[in-house]
Amino acid sequence: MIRLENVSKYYKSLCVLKDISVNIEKGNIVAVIGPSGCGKSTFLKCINGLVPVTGGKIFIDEVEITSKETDLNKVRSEVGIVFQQFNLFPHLTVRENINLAPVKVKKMSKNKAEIQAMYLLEKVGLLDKINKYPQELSGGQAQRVAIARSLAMQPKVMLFDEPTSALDPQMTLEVLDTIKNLSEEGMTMVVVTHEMGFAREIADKIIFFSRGRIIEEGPPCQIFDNPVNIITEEFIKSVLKDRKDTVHIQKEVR
Amino acid sequence: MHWEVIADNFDFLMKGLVTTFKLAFLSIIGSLVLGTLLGITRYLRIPFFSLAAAAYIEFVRSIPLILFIFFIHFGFLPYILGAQSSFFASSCLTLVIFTSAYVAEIIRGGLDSIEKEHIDAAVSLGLSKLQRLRYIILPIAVQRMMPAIVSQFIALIKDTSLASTIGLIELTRSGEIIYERTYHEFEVLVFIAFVYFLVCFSLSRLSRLLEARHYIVSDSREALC
Repeated sequence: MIRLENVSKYYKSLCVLKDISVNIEKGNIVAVIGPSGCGKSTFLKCINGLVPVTGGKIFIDEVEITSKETDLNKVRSEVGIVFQQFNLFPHLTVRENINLAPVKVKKMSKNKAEIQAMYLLEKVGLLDKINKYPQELSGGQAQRVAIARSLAMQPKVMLFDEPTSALDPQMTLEVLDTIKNLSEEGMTMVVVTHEMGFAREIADKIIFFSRGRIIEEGPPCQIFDNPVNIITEEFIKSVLKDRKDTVHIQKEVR
Repeated sequence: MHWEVIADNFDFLMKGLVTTFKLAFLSIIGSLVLGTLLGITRYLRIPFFSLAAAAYIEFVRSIPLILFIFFIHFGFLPYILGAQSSFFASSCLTLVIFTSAYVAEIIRGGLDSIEKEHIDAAVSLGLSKLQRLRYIILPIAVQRMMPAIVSQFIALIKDTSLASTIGLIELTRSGEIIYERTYHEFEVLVFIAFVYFLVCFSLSRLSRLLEARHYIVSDSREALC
């Protein structure tokens, strides 16, 4: 479904991604973890062409998106992305945020878009907010609307860029539940996250990044319990120690 | 005090006010169109055109308006274009050229102020460059630019009084004509000032009303935090 071949990304002489090769199967859920500033977000933004790569090739459904002949706007409409800061359009209502791209890019009829918007909002549990502006929503609600907005394009792949990093634990749970529901529907997903418990629970595969490289990849049980690489091991240890409090709080809320 | 001078010449003064209105209205439309084109050209950073727009803006902003009026009416139109133009046309052209430079900078600033996150979201949804400008960047920018644009147009309304210097009988000039004949400068000037105030203040209140919805929304955000 998604294949990266020797992808690298430089900002001038600063190397952000180095020689990344990954294969993500259809229907798989991949969690990307690693310390801050290690290139996780850049990796994600390369997959939908938001950040142009310096070298290497990226294929989505066997279409090479790094080729100049590919219509990037079409690719992007098939790859949904959810951002850390939600990025809802502040001048549009929830309804307009969701319907804009389907109507303007996909040329969906207004009626069809409207029915779809209501269906998606129902799914993320926010149908009553359809006429609100983004500023009137809480962080967790805004993020769920952002997820609905991405889904409205009926993407083949969903990318999540630290979707809960800007949220408090209660809101984090709402959003994680929404993502989990999606995963049960067989959507192909790549999730950059610091929520280790969540990653372990939903992911088929974990990719551990450090300093622009993939250090280790494998099923959650390998990465969390028997990491092969010493850097992975140290990262997992330090994170689990730091995150004890949050994990505890999450359990209480549940 | 001889306030009857106002009542006696009320129709004449109102005729002047109508000319002021016409001049201001046409200049606002003209400078909005020209200023938007220049501002978008600057924002898009098109080679050569953006530079030309920048040069135009800097040039116009560095020269006094009154000099512009004289130059356009007595210099540019008759000598360079070989056409004698009416007071009204010269004044309107000058105000459009002058105000469009300021409007262009406000528009460019507004467009530049759009956060990258909104553009990223629009790009990710597959919106084309033109669609992004039309549905996302311009609407957000317009909301932010409104207060600055309105003050620019208030300034323009006051600047129409400079057209009196080349002889256009607008509000200020019609007042001059009256006090040159009656010697009641105080009453006439106070009245004219009051009319300008009334017009400009109403416009300012009107724009606040139009902004109101936007502010209510921001208030509720603060309440949530």
